[in-house]
Amino acid sequence: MKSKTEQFKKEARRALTSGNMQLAISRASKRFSQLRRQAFAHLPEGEDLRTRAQAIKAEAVERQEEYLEQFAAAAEKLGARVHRSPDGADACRYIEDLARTSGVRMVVKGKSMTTEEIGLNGALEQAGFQVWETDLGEFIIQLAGEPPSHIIAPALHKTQQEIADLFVEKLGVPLYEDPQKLTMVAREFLREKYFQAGLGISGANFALAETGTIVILENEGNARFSTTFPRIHVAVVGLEKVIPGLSELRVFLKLLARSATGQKMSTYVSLISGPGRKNEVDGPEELHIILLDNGRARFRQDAELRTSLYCLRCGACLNVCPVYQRIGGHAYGWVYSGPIGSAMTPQFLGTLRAKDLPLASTLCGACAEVCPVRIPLPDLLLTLRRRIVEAKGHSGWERSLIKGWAACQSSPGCYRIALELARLGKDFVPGLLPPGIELPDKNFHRLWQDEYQD
Amino acid sequence: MNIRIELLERLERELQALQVRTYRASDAGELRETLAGICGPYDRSAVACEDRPFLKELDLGFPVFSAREKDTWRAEHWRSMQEVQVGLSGADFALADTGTLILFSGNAGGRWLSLAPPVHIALLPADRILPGLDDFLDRFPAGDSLLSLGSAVTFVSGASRTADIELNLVHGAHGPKELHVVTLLFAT
Repeated sequence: MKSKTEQFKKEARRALTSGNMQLAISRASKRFSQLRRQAFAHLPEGEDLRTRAQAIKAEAVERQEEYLEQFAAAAEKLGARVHRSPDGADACRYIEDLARTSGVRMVVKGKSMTTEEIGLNGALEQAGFQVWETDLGEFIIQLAGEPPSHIIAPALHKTQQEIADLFVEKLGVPLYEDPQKLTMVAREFLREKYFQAGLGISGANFALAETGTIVILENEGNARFSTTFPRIHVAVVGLEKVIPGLSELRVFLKLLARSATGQKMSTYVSLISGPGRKNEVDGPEELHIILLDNGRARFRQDAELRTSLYCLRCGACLNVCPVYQRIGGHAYGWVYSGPIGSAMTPQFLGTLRAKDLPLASTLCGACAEVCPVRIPLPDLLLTLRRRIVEAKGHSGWERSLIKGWAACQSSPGCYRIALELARLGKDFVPGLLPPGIELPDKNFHRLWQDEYQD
Repeated sequence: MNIRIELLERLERELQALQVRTYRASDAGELRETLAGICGPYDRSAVACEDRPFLKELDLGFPVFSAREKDTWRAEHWRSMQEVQVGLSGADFALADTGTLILFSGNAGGRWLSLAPPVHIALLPADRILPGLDDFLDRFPAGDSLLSLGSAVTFVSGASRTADIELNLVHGAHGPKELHVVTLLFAT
């Protein structure tokens, strides 16, 4: 996917003034957070599970090479072909070549952030293949030509009306104005594609070293279709997805859906071990598994940031983030948004290129509190901030400003005066505060003095 | 047959919370009646029954969907998809505390019968209900034994769903719009 992460400030400002989108995003993220909270309230062992999940990921990332070798050997024994791709270009080329030599013209895809990351759709389309996203949200944004705005709900930013109009324009159907009918339009449209397509592409949520199994979680069934009916199934799997085996998987199965949507279990969890077998009535004839590096081996060497590789892509950190809730996913300018996006994008694209992202955080820590694998996101953002400063250096006046600010913050009298000045200033200097930000009539100190102190 | 009624009740509660319709059948006669009720609106020929030994023995009178022909199965599945409204399958296990059915592709039905038809009916022998995920996974301590179950082991918790349009829950995004679970209280 092309990056616009350099334009973060501009895009964030635009998002702040787009009322519709802000409303949709804040409504959805609050709803997801609420569902997550309810789910964990009914899971007394939830906190223990998070700790165990973190430990499993730490060990799996530590011994990643070993587990990957074990995985590849086991998967090949089942008849899968395993290919290691150093980068996205290699992965795209592998799939293009495979499609070409197999006489494939149409490709269907299940939802996969990893394939977004490597820009697979664009590459395949450019090579002349017809590509269909089959997850409803991904299908909608594919028709609209827009990037995803949320890890698990990619079309979060689009209203029903917009989707209805889009279907009229792109699919030539009548104007339907209820979600049920619109969903059925997509269902019928995509059904025949599963059978026409020669190749189905999926990601994977986990890869089990012990058995060579890939695990896919979803709610719609489109990933099941895409990995069952096309003659060839290609799974694009980030290196960090490998875990030892079934006994580790159980921990993640209990956490992932609850963290994402508050479900006890995703509607469909598929454990896929090799291509379809001779005694089975269906299933693909070929399974290709691409183990994708694309920078991950490098992130692993980085002792300060490697915990970001634990990420399960559940989206919980986006939903609770006060910054994400305001600006949504597009402003981040690349595939991954929210706190985890701010931590990963600089690693993928370069610290300076994505320098605005780690800065756009209040460091409130809400993200770390909900992360199912306990990624210390605020620490990662602080590390990145330090590196940005180290790489850029800072000017004399910036240094003085920070020193002055620190001095002011350490003296209560000074701090209060500064606050009052800011309050006065905002009336005289338009644009001092970003749009949508208001100061209350009384600040906390004053409120405490006037109303709560004995 | 050893039936743990509290497990069955828990499972039914969880399934109902997922908008799955649940039934119990204490003998083959009751099962036939229940199925006739569910399949009422559809023609008998619109039902595809999995080719599984215990379903065969029950002799339910629905067309049986059987093994793949090497080159033609896709065309056949596509044709069937136009006609078949109801997929009737067994369930290999169920997890009470999450309302989950577990289906092995190695057991006759493959993957499509529980996926493509708009209505999926799963017949679950009552002794296959386990308390939860751990109890299922503990059956495969070596991991390897998982592989004997088929190329796809699928956990199904409810009918296909999406909330991608303004968070409105819609069933039948791609997979079944309705899921019915009939628990069999007799030996199969």
